[in-house]
Amino acid sequence: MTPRRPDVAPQPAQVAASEPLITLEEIVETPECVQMSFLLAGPSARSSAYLLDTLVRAALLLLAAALAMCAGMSLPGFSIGFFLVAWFLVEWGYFAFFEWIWSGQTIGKKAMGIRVVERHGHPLSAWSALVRNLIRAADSVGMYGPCFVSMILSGKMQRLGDLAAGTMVIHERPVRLPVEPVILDTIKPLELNDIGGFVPKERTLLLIDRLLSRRTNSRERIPHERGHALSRGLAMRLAEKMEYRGDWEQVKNYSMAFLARVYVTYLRRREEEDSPDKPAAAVDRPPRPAVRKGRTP
Amino acid sequence: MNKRKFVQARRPEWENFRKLLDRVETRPIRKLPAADLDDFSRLLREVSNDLAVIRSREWGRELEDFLNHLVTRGYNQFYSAPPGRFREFLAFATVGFPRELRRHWKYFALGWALFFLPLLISWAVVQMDPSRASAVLPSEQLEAIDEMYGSKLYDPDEDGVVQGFGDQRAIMAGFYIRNNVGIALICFAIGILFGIGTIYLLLFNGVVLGALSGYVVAQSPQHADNFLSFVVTHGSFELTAIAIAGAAGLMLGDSFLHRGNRTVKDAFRVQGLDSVKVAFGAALMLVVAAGIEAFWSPSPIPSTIKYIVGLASWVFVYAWLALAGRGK
Repeated sequence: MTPRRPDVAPQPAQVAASEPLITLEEIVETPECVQMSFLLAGPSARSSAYLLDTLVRAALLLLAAALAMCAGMSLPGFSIGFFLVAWFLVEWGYFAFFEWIWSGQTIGKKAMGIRVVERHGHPLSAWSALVRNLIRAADSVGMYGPCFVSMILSGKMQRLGDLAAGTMVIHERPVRLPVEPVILDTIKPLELNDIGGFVPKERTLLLIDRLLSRRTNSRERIPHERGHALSRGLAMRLAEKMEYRGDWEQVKNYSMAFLARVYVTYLRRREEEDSPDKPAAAVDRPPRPAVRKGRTP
Repeated sequence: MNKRKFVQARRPEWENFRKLLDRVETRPIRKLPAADLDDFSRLLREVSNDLAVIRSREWGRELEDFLNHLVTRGYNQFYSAPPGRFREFLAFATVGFPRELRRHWKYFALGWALFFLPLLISWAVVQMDPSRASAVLPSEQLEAIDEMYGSKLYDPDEDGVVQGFGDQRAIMAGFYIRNNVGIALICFAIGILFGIGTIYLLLFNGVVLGALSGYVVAQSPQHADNFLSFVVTHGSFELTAIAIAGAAGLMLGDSFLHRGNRTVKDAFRVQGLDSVKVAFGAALMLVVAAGIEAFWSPSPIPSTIKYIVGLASWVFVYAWLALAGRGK
């Protein structure tokens, strides 16, 4: 048995408890203290892009061969030399060239919606594009073995070429502005007679807002039944606190709808409290979607 | 102010910023009117601020993503690097590359030794006893080489032979570029795996080339003259470039092994950029070498002239690497 060395103290845990252990989200803070977040691309998106690029490269080589064949009628030596140089360029230069002119994208990467950026989120520089794609030769040793090992160990999904260049591959985010849940304009607020004086906290309303936006916006979409099931606990508790005098069966079975009504009720009330020209007691009026539409450009 | 009001109030500006970005991304930023530039800088700051507000109040993932995307695009445009110019490339190829190599001369010395020492040793050993060549080279290849350099290839009186070779020059240029530059780049890239592959490739190529040279030279004075006058000129660029590519690979491998206080990632990144500059320079040298090897080396010129030009090119290569870009 080896004696325990007294000077080696047990290491404290390196990872803070609140930090998620596995995440593909990469937060970068600029010198102006603006935080930007990037979603790292994993092996599946990247190997699909690679496969597409392989097809494109094969097509380019075929094209070069066809050209060489045509030119071969008159200049046999020259055309074969041309083909060999084209082969070299497609083999070693394809990725670096496209990533250079298209700022981190090749044809395959464009199709998969991924992009190479510097580790601080800057656009890819020409030298970095060259480094990461020359080192591809080391990544591809033995069915891309070193590539996958490095991607797992690096913590940022970087292959060896990315490590040497200091780059990362990210997913491009959606561009459109998320829509407000349309449903909110048609939902009736709760009857004033049905509820007591309890007012939910701002945080509770925000939570409902996030839940509702997950029904309408794409990335984390949840189905109806699941939405109701998730809402049930909060809905019942809110109904209790508000001393709700309406239909409890509805609260139980269509919890999300109830939460939406709560949201609309108190959101409206707050908005009207905020604006000086509206009387505060206008909660039981029908919702007025026209106001919102009028202000939207 | 709640979320709905905030979005309503800020939305027009986000739309403006998005439209402006579409314009900035499709054409060079310096061709934009001054008013747009003012707007761009103001909107980038405002939208960054909006993003911070939405983050801190946790007003929804989707909204955050949307603004994050806008800010990222804006930031990229605002800080994008100036486009590379041909003049910069030329400056690198002539002056920047020798400077970079001299900065890391220890790796170059090591790469040179790992390639040229085995080459010279195996040359000497095989020339003393040509039968030893079969230890590293297959006998069919030795016979082919024997035949290739045996006759007087470049006799101007024999038109047919000269023309036959001339027709092949473009093919050979293409072949040398693909083959030699490919080997050099692999020699560099494989270095990232602890440098083992690089060392192996340098030693292997050195031993084989040395054995081949020794074997040919030992056959007859005719062989020796044909062979040496052929290789002497392009060898200056080609062999030196292989050693340089090896040096670049060794830099990568060493950055992993001796990284001091740096993390593995930082070590790779710091050496990565320098090493690729060195490797890229080696690739350019090999393209030059391929041109010489295909068009000058096999041409029917008296071998005395070839020796003189060859010697001059060796002097030129090392003087260039040692002196270009010094001072100022």
